[in-house]
Amino acid sequence: MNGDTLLLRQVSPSWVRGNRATSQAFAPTPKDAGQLSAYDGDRITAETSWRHFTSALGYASVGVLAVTVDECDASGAPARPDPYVFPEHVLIDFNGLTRAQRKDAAKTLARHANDRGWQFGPVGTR
Amino acid sequence: MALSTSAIDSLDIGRQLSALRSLKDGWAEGMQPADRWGKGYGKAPSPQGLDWLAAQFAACYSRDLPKPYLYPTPDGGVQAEWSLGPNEASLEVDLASHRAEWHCLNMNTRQSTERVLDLDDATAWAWVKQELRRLGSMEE
Repeated sequence: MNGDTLLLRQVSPSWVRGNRATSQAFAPTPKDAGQLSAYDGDRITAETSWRHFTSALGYASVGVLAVTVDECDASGAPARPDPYVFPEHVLIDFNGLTRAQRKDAAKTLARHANDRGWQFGPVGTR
Repeated sequence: MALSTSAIDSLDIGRQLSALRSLKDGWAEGMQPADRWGKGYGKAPSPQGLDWLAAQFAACYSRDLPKPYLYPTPDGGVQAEWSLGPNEASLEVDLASHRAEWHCLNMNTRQSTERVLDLDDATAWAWVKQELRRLGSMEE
């Protein structure tokens, strides 16, 4: 994993309007221990990550957006490998940020991800 | 149960809020950190709360303003979002208390603003509309 590595984030179908995903897709709530789960794009493709999430794990995802490791670092929410849940698992950690800074970081990451476009999907949208 | 995104492509406010009625508790499962997966995540917004918010938008929001993107929050609320030029604005609404948190980040200057609002108060909506018009003018 390096600065250019894409971190693949699954997105709930309820968090997309048109093709735009909410900044909440990149914002941990206070109940989330200040962390977000993602997939290491150097180790798995966006489509394979979506199939793992939806078929192997059985959760709902409309598609996959991505931010880079450098974008996470710049927003104050660094990413680190966390292969204990599954080998490609990455945590994006917002714990060094205040509540306001977390909102700033979430909006920044969501803007990057929406501008970059869907890495897979969105599935089921027109 | 997740929403069908094909049903809510339109940014019509009433249609967006109506679509949220189909959500069931647990709709956001998998969006929390992986070590908490499978424990249920995402409270469904209450029908009464959605009725109230729809009525507030109908009464207080102006048709000439940009339509918001409306998304459910895991706590059972609704978050309105606007992308206006360099600005990313949001209004996180608690459907029980009718309290809302405004947050706006200018991506160019990195300046952000926050404000807590009581959406039963017409002056709060007036402030939101004024702010959206100001942000909209920066877009041009």
